Amino acid sequence: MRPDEGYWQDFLCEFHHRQRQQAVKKAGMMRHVEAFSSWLSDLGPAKWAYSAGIAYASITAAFLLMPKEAEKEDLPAAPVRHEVVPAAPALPLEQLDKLDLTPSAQGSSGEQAF
Amino acid sequence: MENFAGGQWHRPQCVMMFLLLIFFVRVIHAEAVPVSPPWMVGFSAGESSNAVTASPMAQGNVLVTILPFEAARMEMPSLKHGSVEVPIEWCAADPVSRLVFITPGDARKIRNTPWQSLTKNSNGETYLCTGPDGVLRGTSQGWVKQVAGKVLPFALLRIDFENRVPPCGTAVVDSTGKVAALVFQKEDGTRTCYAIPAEAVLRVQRDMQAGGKLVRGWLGLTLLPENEVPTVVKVFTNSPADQVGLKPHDILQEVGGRQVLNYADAANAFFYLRSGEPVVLKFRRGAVQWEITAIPSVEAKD
Repeated sequence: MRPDEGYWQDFLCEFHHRQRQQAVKKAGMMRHVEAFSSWLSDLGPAKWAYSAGIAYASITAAFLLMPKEAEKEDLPAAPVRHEVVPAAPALPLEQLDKLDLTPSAQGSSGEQAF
Repeated sequence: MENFAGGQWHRPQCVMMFLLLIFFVRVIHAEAVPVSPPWMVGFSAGESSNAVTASPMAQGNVLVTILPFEAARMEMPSLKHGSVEVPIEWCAADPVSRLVFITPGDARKIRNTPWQSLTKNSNGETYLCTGPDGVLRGTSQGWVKQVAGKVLPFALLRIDFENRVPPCGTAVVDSTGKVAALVFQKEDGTRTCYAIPAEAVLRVQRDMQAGGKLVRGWLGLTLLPENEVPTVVKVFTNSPADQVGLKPHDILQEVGGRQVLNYADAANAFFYLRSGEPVVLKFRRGAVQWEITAIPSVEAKD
């Protein structure tokens, strides 16, 4: 049984339509890859020099930026201090009755009346 | 007659040149005028004599100086104006401040100097001292209220001098031309000195001229120097403080307009109290701030 006359015509149209859709979908990502590939092939023998330079720069950068392991120093073991140290008592102040700046000047301590 | 530009001299130009000539002559003459000879006071210290500078006060025929530490006790000093020996009419010394006030006896007129009634509390203030060797420039380093754990009876000014410290008793003049302090003592090995503020000198002078001795105003309360904040410990019954309602545990904040943050501040503020002169006290009781006016009486220690 032969298909209708317009069947092959419709089939062909739909085939082309799908082919175009696939081509458009592929173009987004592959276009760049293809452009890069063609650029690389156009370079000729120089591409090996470019590749080697980029690789060398990458390795050097990775080596320099790699965080160094912190140097560890074993602290001497010491027992934890639990006791609370009381604050130093306030030094007693003396009141000078006379203006005398010599170190031997004697003042009065304790409550002062005014 | 031609002028500098080759033109003829006119009358206005001649007048201007004449005035300029007079101006320059006056300036040169002013530089050549000798300064007033210094007043020197000699105190006997054992077998030797110790001379210090004396400075004129703001009013009256009165000089002020400092009794040197070497002079163990106050005896009648000798007074010189330049190289001229001058008799002394009146002399009084205060043992608290070591200030000595002198009136010359031969009716010699003292050229009075203006004094500050309230010394500015500014760090970095520039001061000048004029002496026989020229002008000495100093910079204020602020107040000193205690030295080596000892609270002074009143605060002193600490002044750094550029070249050397002027002699004891020299007047320290501020930028307004008024005496701001009196050199009290040099700090050993430095170009720094302690100076008695002008307000303290005036405070002592008033009492010394009125009654021959310093009379401290007394409120009748006690403070403990070790307390971080100036807290009233005790109030004497029927004292001025008691009469205005001051109570133990009240925290003083201001005495006579002077801010009081600690015990040394309070001791300094109390030095300026005079009996019979009302003083405003600001204090805190709990969370409430109070302001009262008390009238100090004569110091009870006497």
